[in-house]
Amino acid sequence: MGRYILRRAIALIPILLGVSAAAFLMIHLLPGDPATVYLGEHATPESIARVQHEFGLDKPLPVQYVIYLWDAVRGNFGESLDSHRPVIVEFWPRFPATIELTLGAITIALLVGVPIGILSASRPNSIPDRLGMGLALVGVSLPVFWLGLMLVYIFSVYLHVLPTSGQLGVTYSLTSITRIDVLDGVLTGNFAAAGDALRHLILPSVTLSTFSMAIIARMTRAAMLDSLHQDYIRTAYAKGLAGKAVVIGHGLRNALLPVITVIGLQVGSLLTGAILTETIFSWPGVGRFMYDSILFRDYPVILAGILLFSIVFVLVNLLVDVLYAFLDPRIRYA
Amino acid sequence: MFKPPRFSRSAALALVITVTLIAGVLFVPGSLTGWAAAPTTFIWGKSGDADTLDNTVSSNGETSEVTTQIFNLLVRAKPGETDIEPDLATSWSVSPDGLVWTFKLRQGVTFHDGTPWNAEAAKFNFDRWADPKNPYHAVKGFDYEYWNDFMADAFKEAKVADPYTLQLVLKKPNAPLVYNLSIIAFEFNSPASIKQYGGQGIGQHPVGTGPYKFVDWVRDDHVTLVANPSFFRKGLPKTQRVIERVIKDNAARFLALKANEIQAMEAPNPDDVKVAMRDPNLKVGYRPPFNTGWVRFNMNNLLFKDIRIRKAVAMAINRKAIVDGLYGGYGEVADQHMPPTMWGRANVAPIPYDPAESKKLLAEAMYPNGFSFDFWYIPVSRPYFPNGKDIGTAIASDLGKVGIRARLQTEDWATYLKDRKTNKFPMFMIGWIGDNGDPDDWLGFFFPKFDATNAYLSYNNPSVFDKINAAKVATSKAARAELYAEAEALVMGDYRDVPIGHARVPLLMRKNVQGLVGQPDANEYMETVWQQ
Repeated sequence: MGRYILRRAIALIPILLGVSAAAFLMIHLLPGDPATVYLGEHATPESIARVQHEFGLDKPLPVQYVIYLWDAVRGNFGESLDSHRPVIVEFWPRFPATIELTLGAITIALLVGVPIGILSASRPNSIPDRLGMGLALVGVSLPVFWLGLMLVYIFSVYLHVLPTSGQLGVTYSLTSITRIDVLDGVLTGNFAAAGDALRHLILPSVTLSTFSMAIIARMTRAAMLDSLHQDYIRTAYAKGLAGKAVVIGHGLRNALLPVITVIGLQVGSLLTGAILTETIFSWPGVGRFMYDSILFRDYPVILAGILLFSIVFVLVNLLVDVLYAFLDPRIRYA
Repeated sequence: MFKPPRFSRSAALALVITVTLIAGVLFVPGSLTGWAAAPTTFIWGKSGDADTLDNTVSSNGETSEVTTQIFNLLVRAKPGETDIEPDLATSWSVSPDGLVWTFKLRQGVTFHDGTPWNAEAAKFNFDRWADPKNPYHAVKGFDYEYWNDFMADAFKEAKVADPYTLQLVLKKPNAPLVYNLSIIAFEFNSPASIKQYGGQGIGQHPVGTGPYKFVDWVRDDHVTLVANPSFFRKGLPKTQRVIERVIKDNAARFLALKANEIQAMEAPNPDDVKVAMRDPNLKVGYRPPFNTGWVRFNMNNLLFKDIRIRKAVAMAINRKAIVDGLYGGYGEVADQHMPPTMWGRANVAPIPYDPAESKKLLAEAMYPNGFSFDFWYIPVSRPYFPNGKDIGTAIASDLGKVGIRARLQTEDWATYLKDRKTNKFPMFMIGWIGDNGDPDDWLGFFFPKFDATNAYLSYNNPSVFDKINAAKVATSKAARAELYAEAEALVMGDYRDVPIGHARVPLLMRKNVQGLVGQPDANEYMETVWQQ
């Protein structure tokens, strides 16, 4: 297993090099001068020349790329043109916020999607199946922007039961440990803050979960239907096992592989930033940050973000592959 | 073929517990949600975050909204106006040669750290701004943009005449100086704080003399300020705590206002303004128009060297229809560069909408069938052009009616701003948002000189430059106003630009919010705000 993981991890290096080179080239093809963005439109030519020199923008593109790679390997991704702070410092507090939202969304997606899939598959073409698949269709089709605003309107503006946006109310303060507010609240014994953070998490998580929930429900149903028609299911029933034991114990376990793939892909997408959800709910995660940075043409942030997202994506895929190998030993030797 | 599973009692119990927990989290009283404001707290919804809280090195409007509450200036804009009033200076005078400005400073004022405000403190700040070798001058990633634009050229030194008298000595007269000093970039930080945190650090530790003291700044989320009990304007501030909360999405910010999580907000969507007008819990206020959008001719272009063609273009544009239809109800037709809130305006007649006269002028200029050219519109939304593309399209459509075929063009905003200073654009849209209440901030920037390589500076009328330069050194406000008005009249008579519109900027607030006055420069004073 260790050798398998190592082999897969080494294969990531050319992928990341390719992504970084493509991103670097594309960003430098865009119009606009980073030094002008950095200093503002009233900047003097002398200031612009100074910043271009400081950032190495006056060097040939291949040289800039090599310098960038060398710095990146050492954890230096440059400085944000907007905030003028190191890019890594900008990403650092935002990534846990995105992880918190991802965990919230994927938890809801799993808690709702998997049971719907199982229920639908166990009673195909029944009313619950049609309702479940109808719900999945709605989940895939609903525009996130619309759904988010509607949820805010109903639960915050009309019912006044949940906050409209943000990660934590201003009346609470938390000692940061993991920077995942719900967890930090629990870890520090500040349950009031943890509760408030949880309330802030609900609407964005629900909004973000709908698409994943729908995909997971449909995939679970398809995989379960396939699994429930296998001979070993018939054998299980023939042995006199109860319906639940057959469906969960034999059906679901064997249907898990494709479902895990989908979950992995969904987690990868969610971790790389749910731009719309984070924007609607003012969630201080990487998705909204990247969106703002793209609007501002904050090149160092965009570049670092692309690299970071690529790393997250390939790592999640690696994790899924490893999980595959763990669940199905045949894969390890394929 | 297979039996459906039956769910046990334990599963049913788990379901009940889950539903109960969810209901418990959901149905907490509204007052327990963290953003619900106590009556002593006023939460302002911002559309973006500050880049630093040291406004001397920032031109970011999101920074100014915060620093306006923390700092004071020598003079400041009057509430709701562009004209100025005393702030940390109680009076001022200028020597007959215009080279020495003397400011009498307010006494008994202390910074939030308890150190005194006096001429030494003022000089300490001026020295920091002016001298690149000053140990507190350099701030990585930032430039003293406003200082460089408004002060550096004329400034020589700051002198302490006595503990409460400051003198600014200039290399050459600079009549707009006192108005320039009303720009929030010329705020006074506590010297003790600057020494403690350094030039780099005060951006995170602002210590001023203003109505509110800095508490914390959670980036991209909120800034918390608390009332300064020693504030020199007695009876102010009226609210104990001000929180400036960042909600970048306009629709989300509006929903937060409706939910009373914030009590006022800037930059609403036009549709939300209409909703707010009908909402019994909300009301609409406005920042007075302090911007102008216009169409500028590149007079280095042979076509637009001819005044008959410029006039034909100007008369072909139905400016009233454009402002009525495309400014969301906040616009007014501009007849000159400076908005009505400014002094020094010219007494000029509006350019009439007259397509017939326009066609006649084209025929006189030997273009009876019109001509084709590239017309560049701004790719972004600005108060003076809320929708560059729609307004550009309307202008092109109007020109088409007299036979002028304008090919609409645009490009990335940063590139656009750069290219307007070349001869790439034959005709283009551009505008201005004022920095302060001095006409030099407007006409001085638009007509500093002639440049044959620069579309923006392609107007060559030495009389205009002479008047503007004379106004820059004249010491009487009345004389200055007359010179600017004369210069503007010449410019408009030459049809150098076609002014299109000025726009008010709407602010939305809860009905119980009192004392929030829209500022032309977008930096509202929250010291007067309270909630009923």
